[in-house]
Amino acid sequence: MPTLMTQNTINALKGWPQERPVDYSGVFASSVTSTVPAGSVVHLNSDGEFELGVGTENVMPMFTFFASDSPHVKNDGGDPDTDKNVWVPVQPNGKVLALVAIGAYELVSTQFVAGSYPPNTLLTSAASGGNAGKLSAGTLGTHMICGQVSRGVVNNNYGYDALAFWPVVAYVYP
Amino acid sequence: MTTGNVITREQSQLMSKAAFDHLLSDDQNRVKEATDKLNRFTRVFMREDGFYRRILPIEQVTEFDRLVSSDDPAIIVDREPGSPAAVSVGFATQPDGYYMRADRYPVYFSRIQSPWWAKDVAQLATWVMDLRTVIGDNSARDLLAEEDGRMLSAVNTAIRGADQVVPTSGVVQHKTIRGGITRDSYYDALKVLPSTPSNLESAKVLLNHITIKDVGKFTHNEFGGTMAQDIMVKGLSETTQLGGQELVVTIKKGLVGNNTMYFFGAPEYLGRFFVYDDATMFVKREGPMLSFYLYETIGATIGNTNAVARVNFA
Repeated sequence: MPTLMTQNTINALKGWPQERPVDYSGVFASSVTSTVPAGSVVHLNSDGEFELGVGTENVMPMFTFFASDSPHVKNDGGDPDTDKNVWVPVQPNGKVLALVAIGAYELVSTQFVAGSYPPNTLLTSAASGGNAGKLSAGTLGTHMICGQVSRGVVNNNYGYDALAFWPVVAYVYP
Repeated sequence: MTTGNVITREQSQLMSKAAFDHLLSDDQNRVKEATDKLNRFTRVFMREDGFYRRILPIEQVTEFDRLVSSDDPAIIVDREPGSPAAVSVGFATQPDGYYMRADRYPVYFSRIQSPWWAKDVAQLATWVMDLRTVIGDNSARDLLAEEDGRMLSAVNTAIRGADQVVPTSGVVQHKTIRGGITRDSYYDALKVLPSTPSNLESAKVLLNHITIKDVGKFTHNEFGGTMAQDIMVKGLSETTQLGGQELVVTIKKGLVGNNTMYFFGAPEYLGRFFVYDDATMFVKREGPMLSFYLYETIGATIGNTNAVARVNFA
């Protein structure tokens, strides 16, 4: 079944949209080859490009608001170096909106590792592996902390499980 | 002022200043009226500047095609297919059968916007220079610069690196020609675009204001008439043509390098450039604070990579 618009989502239960939010618009690093769903955790690499998760590095967490293959982000017409009859988009330019973790909002994202998430559980996101970019329980002092559970696992309003949390920035001890 | 009236840049700036004065009003109706006027001035400005819009004219749209996987605005464009050749055959031979097919390509929309500018109106009043107009005009130029940059990035992607064959056409569409810019080398450059299977002649040639000075060096023999004298005395004008092509001259040397020319087929063969929100200024007056930014919602795709070419004159 094709992916539906309501299946991979992030919503701001509180605090967004607002007139002057702390958001960031960026492109994905070339090393990110798979489609990144909306609600994924990302950080900036040294080139200012999005990479998945936060891992154990002291980085600023962000949460993508749209998928990396959204039409306003990407229009794949083929590779002019190798393919015939390609088209080449002038717009879009690959930039996707992400909400920065220091912003004041309560978010709910479908991108989390299945498990138990009572309120106040600290959250991190793996930077590599099959769960890269997904929220999961983290340990203060070991993992870069990017959130704290608020309401727990809820319905994303479209029938899919989603994790409600407040973004938090807590660095790994030096 | 209605769409279609021609005004000069100076008239535009005077009217813009008059509109700006209304922005200082506490009357929200006057602020809205001023905003509407500023948007019209901005769109006149955008039509005059920027080279992308001169090469691929914009088409205003109000409706979109719908996608299943997204509610992002999009327009799907049909693309003319190639045709298998006719063949000579012997009597009683049945023709080969083909099921009719063609391609389509999508034009997806996204947004270009300027920074958000804010100022206390009391401080604005201390400026002799019309700071709001200067920043507003620069923001419009910045929108155009982003359009032009995106367009050339797409063109350079389509035609690949210098002297590399493009798979779609089977020929080189980004060529290096040695010997500088001469009558001979210019006409060699004009051969690049028609060499693709689409056989398109150049409708527009894009070059920067430094490169065109080499055209001014053409001698009487190269021009084949008194044009050399005219150019020596009066200089090149924006209406100068070469080889029947319209020259689009830009000052954006950072985008169009020296000794480089881009050749474009007619717009109907090149692609589509749609506009949903043309350049719009959002203005907010809240107490003593005036703030504004410009934005536009556009979508553009080069649908036929056979309609672009580039020559580097080494």
